Amino acid sequence: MKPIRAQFARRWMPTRVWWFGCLILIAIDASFAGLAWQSLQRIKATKRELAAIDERVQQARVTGPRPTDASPLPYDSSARDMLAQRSVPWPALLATLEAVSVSGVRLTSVDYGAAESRARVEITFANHAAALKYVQQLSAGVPESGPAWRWRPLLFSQPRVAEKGTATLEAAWHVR
Amino acid sequence: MKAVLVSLDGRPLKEAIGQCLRGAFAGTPAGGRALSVWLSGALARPFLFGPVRGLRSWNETNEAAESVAREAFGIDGPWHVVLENDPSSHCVLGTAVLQATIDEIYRTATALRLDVRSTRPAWAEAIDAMPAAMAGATLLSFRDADSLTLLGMRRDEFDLASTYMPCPGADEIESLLRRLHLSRDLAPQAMHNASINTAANGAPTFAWSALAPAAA
Repeated sequence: MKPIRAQFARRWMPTRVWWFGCLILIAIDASFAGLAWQSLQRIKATKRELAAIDERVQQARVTGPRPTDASPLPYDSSARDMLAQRSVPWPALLATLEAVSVSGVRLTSVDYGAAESRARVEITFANHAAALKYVQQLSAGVPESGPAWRWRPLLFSQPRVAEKGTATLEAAWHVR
Repeated sequence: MKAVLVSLDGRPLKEAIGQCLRGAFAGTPAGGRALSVWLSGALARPFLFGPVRGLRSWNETNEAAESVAREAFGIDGPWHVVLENDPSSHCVLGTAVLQATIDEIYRTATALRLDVRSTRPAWAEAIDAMPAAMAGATLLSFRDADSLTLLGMRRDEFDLASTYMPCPGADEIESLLRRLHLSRDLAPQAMHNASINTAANGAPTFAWSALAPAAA
């Protein structure tokens, strides 16, 4: 007799515990999906805000005031003064004044204006020749590097008998 | 795994299944109790089907077999049908169980926290349990509390499958078997009778006998 293979057993039936587990998993999945959706919405909102900020910045760049139109900052004049002071070749200039010595010529005052890039000195001299020689020697002491200057006489007074004449010399410099 | 014979024995289906399953595990702790359900010939009925040509799929084959079972057994309920082979070229043995029976078994098993691993006809289990000396049998009569089931083979194919409900009396069975014996021209050793009993511990057991020589 041939064996009979008839079988009516059900392969598998989900139990209540199985359904309960499935429900829990579905609930967990749904909560995670909800959290993910909320995060996504937040990210979208943040992106929108960033885009709006970006757009405002771009608009401000286009329509905003140009840097040249900007009012001078409160420290602007001080900064310019400081830069002017730093650009004056004081050591070399003073070294030249100390080094030049002509008989009959005496340095009486030194005045300078950093903002105008000029320095003025007053001298007394016994005769014109000594004064001119003094000017030549001052102009000869210009260093080879750094700012250069040039001395020129502004005012000469004639020396009277038994008196000395006075002269005002001005040095103007420029950056090479 | 414990085997449980489910037979109607004159009871309604629901009551019979409930009593059989409860009785099998009476006094044992609940949970994790596996069992194999054996259905009586009245609940799992054999029938012959085919050959039928032109069936395009197993669904169509099942539907055709179910309609044959419905007509053969006269019950218009949904049937669960299992065919032993492809019926396109030759006649095959089929087994039909009412879907309501299977549903009730599983409903009761779930309520009792039983794990149904197998649901098979008791006569199929009898064939599996047939002693080696009877392996050449070509006609089997199987008797349980509900019915008498006859299975016959010729040229290695089933050609007889019928169920008698309720189970006939001993004289009627003997007359029936003699007629079959003569009509099929069988040798005495080709015919065996099996009956199923329930042991003291509730397990179903088979009792085997050959056709009596005097009768043959």
